[in-house]
Amino acid sequence: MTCQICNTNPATIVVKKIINGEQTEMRLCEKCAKSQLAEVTSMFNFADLFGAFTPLNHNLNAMSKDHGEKNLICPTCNTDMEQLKKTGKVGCMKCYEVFGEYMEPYIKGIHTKTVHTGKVPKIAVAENENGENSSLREISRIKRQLEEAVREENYELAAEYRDLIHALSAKEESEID
Amino acid sequence: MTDKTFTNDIAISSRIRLARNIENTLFPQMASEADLTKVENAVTEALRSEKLAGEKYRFYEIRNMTETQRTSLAESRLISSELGKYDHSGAIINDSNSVSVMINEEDHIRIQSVKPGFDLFAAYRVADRIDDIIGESVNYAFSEKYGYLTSCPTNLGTGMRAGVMVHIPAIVMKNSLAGIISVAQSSGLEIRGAYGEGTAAMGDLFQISNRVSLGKSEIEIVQSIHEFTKEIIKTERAARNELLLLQEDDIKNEVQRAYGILTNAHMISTEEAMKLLSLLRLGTDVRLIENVSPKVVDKLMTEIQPATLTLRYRIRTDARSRDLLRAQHIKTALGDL
Repeated sequence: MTCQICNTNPATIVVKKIINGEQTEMRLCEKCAKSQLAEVTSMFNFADLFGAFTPLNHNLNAMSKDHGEKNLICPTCNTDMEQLKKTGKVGCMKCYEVFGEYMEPYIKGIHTKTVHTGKVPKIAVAENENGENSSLREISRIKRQLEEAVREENYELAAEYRDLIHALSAKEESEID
Repeated sequence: MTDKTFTNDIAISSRIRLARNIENTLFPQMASEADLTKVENAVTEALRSEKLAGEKYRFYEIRNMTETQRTSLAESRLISSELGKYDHSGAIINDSNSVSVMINEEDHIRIQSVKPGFDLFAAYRVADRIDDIIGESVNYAFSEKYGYLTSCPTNLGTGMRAGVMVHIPAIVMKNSLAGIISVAQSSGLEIRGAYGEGTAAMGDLFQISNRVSLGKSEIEIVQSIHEFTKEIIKTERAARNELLLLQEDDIKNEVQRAYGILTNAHMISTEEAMKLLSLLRLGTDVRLIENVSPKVVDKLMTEIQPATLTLRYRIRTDARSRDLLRAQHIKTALGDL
């Protein structure tokens, strides 16, 4: 029998996992067994993370205690800390300013990062004081990825990037017009 | 043979969803009726047909729909089952069912674009264009730090969920799914049953999607799912080859029995039909079954879902009469070829 993960090397090791009382058994080669072991370690972090999903997280609970149990309320939508903790959802865009400090560890727990690097809406571009143009920035970034894809001889991916650059450039030109 | 036709047997469809909210308007959870009406009007106005380059769109108002009509749209994945929780909710859907814009769901706006097969980049280009069209007449809730601001912090940043639906019966048969799920998790992705959860996923259909939406660009997210899906396709193909090599008679037996039951049963449940259609799909992919088109099988997987079936035949909605009708429908679809 070949390894159930890589499907190439012969399976020499049986890996048994018991998660929440459910046992799974996999026949693996030595290399994949090792990486599985590493994953089990990282899965413990996941367990912490999943704990954070319901009903919002203990970090948030702990944080509000640190701040003297005061029940923050968003002045715009009246969502309070208790409600936020219960539903895990904010009521309006201002909530992210009101509760931001407390939510930051929770957000980091979900996404690992806390700063947006993707698309920027047009109106926000106009307000950006640096005057940096987001689609030009995006085009140059995709160009780098295109070069990378060509270097790796991944032509299918390269063609996708080329199409995206064309689409974005066309958009850019129509904006100039 | 192009790469796309080579992968479409395993990758069934590619989907992009963008979550957006309107600036300085309370999110649906806290919104007043006046806010929700404002959102409804703003989005329908933003997507007036002349702005959509000749494509025909239809506005489905949830308040004017029956429960069955609503569930059927959810079974076809054109809306979520949660749509309708708030007043003035609805969806703008194009004629070919490839674009759907939900209004007043968890967020004010949810843009969805679907492409058949393995074509996530193309799906993204369409969603991006619709996003720009709406963005021309609506100011989005956005912050430099958190990106697009969403009702649930799990969607912050790009507001994007990208997913590929894959049919992976050989991986399931070989019990290799657990390993793949943990690899996906460690890459910030997840795999879930497309119909039903976990290992009980019906029809061996799974959705590969991103868990992380903040701190990565749209293209980076699309690319990571694209690459991961390619690996899944390779693994599924290897598993199929191995099964055919080592257990050809068993597979032939299973596939032909599935075909036999599907073309002869007098009554059939959704669950049994999905299981057998999955085997039939595998049979058509590896040329064990020559006279059935995989497209017909894919279509059947949606058509036999309870609400969609009920809607098509306008029958009484008890399970028994549905099972009878489902068997008839499958027989007709497979016999008409």
